[in-house]
Amino acid sequence: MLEVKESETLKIAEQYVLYKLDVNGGLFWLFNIEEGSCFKLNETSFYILSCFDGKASISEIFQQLLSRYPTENPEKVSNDFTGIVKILKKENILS
Amino acid sequence: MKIPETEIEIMIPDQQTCDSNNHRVNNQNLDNEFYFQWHINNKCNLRCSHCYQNNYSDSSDPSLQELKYVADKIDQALTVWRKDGRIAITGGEPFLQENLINLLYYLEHKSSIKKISILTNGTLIKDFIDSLKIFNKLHYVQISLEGGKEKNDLIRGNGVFDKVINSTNLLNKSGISVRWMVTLQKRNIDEVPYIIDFAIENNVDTLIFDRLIPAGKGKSMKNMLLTPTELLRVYEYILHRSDEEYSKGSSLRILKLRTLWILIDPKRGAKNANTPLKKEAGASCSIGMDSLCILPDATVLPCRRLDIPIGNLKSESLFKIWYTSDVLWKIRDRRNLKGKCHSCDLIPRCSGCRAMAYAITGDYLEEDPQCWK
Repeated sequence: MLEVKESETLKIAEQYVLYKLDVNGGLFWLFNIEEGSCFKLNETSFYILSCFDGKASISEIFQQLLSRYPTENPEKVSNDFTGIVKILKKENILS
Repeated sequence: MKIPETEIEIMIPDQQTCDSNNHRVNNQNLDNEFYFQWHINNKCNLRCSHCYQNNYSDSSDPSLQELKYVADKIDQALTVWRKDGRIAITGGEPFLQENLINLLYYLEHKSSIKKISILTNGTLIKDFIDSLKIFNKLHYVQISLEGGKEKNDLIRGNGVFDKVINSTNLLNKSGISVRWMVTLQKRNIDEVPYIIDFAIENNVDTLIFDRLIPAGKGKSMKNMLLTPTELLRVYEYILHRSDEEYSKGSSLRILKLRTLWILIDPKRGAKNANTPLKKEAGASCSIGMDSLCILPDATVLPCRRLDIPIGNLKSESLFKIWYTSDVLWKIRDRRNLKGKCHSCDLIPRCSGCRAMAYAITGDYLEEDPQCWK
């Protein structure tokens, strides 16, 4: 069972590269440079992934997210955020 | 600003290819093809004055094992991208690479590779005809020709013209499609009418006119470049003759799927459903969209004529090169183009020749110096 600890620091795995093209409101991708897969992202997901630098903790990243995108339902966003982090860990995108 | 829940959900990986209008990572073209121009050796028996190569040493020519390694990398990329591979094998002179036939065998069995062509100077084919006949994926053999006997041999060397005609006949008899490739320059611009007639006479399947790019050995040949007006005139003539041959039912196809052609008649762009294949004219530069060039030592270039290494397959994955090359990204984003190209309304269907811009100005994002618009 994968767990997410608030104090945990994660970073994007070495085989993944984020890329942003500043056009049409922004185009965002996550590339696997070893296996070749390519994932189109939206601005929010790009921002979240770019925060995982191996220094900021998960709770710090969540706070950054809330200050960048204020919400009336932080609990719901927190659940979504935690769920996504779990998936990214399971897929070995974050390690 | 609230976070739309659906936006976060999109972060879950769910797609293998990307498309974003004119800023594509993989070109979603109708044919779904990806083109590799693969130089399997540097060694050449000719020293054509305009050659884009300047190293003819065979010291770094790859072994069969090394060629297979590169072929596997190509196959892996095509498989992941779900693209149909079109590979042009060339050199140097590819028929001087002792592993050519063994490589063709290897590629023949790669399911991701659909079409193979060989780009050659045409002087050494006769000993290989029987070997070539067995390859189902061999789409065509492309031979360089610069004009009639006198002009061609002035540029490519004595006796080359006769060998090219002999090779063309042998390939035709063997049922292998032949293309002729002409490098347009001041020395042979007057030969164009003759070359078209002669191609028809010799049952050539496809004729290609490419522009001289002063790179490599041909770097000192800027004085041989056509002016924009000269280029426009010769393109107009070629288009006229191409249409004429089409209406006469000639089997010759004159390929005009290159940059600048679209300026003559914007309605004829490539993949226009209303335009017959033989009348198509104009295409965007394929750099960063659906093509790459690989050199004998596995160095990767955006295009053979744009001699800026963007990686090496011995030390990097093809994916890393394709996804992270700064040169490719700058060219993909057409807004980076400068001068006339920057403001041109035909940019999505032309983009100018980046190699020509680089050869003349040193900046591959500059406007195409031969554009007449």
